Amino acid sequence: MSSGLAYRLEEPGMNVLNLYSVPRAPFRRAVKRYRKEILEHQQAQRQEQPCYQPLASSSLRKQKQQQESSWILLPLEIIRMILLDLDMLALSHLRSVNKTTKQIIDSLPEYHLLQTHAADTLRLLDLTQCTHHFSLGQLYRELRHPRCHTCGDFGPFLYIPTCSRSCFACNRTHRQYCIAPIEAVFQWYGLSLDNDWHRLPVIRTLDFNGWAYQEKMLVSMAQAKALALQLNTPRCDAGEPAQGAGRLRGGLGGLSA
Amino acid sequence: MSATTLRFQSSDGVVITIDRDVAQRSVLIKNLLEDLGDTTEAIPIPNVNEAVLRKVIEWCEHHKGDPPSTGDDDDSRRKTTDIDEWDQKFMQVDQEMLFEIILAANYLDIKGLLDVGCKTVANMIKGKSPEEIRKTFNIQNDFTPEEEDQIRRENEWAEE
Repeated sequence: MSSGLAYRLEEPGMNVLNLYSVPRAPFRRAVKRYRKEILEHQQAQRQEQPCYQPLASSSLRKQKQQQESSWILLPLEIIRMILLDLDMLALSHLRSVNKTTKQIIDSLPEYHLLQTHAADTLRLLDLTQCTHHFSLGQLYRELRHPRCHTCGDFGPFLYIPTCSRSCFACNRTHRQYCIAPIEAVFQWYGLSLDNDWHRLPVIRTLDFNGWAYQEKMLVSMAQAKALALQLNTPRCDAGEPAQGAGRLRGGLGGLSA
Repeated sequence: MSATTLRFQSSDGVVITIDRDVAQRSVLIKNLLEDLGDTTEAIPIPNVNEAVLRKVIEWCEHHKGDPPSTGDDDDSRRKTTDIDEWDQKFMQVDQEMLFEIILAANYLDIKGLLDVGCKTVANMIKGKSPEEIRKTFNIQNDFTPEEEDQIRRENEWAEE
């Protein structure tokens, strides 16, 4: 399995950014920061959401004292369904909880297959900081079938924002596979950078501006439009964004065997 | 052709009367009724106690208008975090109850409820550090420090 990020303007060959040609150190720092930020963000969200009582305050405490009760004791097929709903970051956390959870996750066929055959893609999702948007089940389903989502041909590329396979032609021309810098897209669709950015998968990458590597954030235009429509903001039925945004397309190549 | 209500007996012997339509959200009950034809006797449900059964019925009643799930689970399970508001509130129970509901949904074969239950547990795990997961689910850490170190290294795919 090989992969790379192709990122270009209207002229092919311009501004091709290969994640592998960028020095590792800034990426590593960015990814570390990303993992911490995601954890913090999800924790912050959790506080607004319903909080589940820990086991100790359960009304069935008597039963609990006899036997440690936890989701680990559910039947395996149900545990599998739960694990398929988790993303790779959560799984990696769960894996280091204890021996049982590690064994369960390692013996999960989907997890094992992805780790062996799609390690590159997983790493790329991590590098672009999109890992937490896709559950294991979703990734597995997408990588297992060989077809392009829009035309049905063989699809050797993976379009990161929606995690869908695409062929080269669709990736270049189809409106669904358009990415652009987040500032431009959000301004165009009237979304707020502060409140809405975490609702969409944001591809983060490093851009060489001649002196240094700068972080750059890209989002899918189709997704931004859908979000804008959903949030019922005006101006979202306009077609293409302003000239300044340019027409940018991107895709992650992920040729799978 | 058939009665509009059915009676069910929970594991602790309580008989509950339910609308036929509502009960048929459960594939198990649906198949049972197809095989048995009409029955006026209480149908025993040996794996589910009263409290859980009432919870499950509450869910089925709220979702009785939903289109029946097709076998294709591509779209229905697509987004993990998508649990609708009512379901989120419905699932605000203690963990014991949550797991009982999941088990009951599995036994009675109610796909929608099982999905919601699994997603709820998944959301409880997400965004937690290993230490917090242990605390939430009351799991002991049985790794030696060396093993723990090893796993931490394995988990960092981004590093070469």
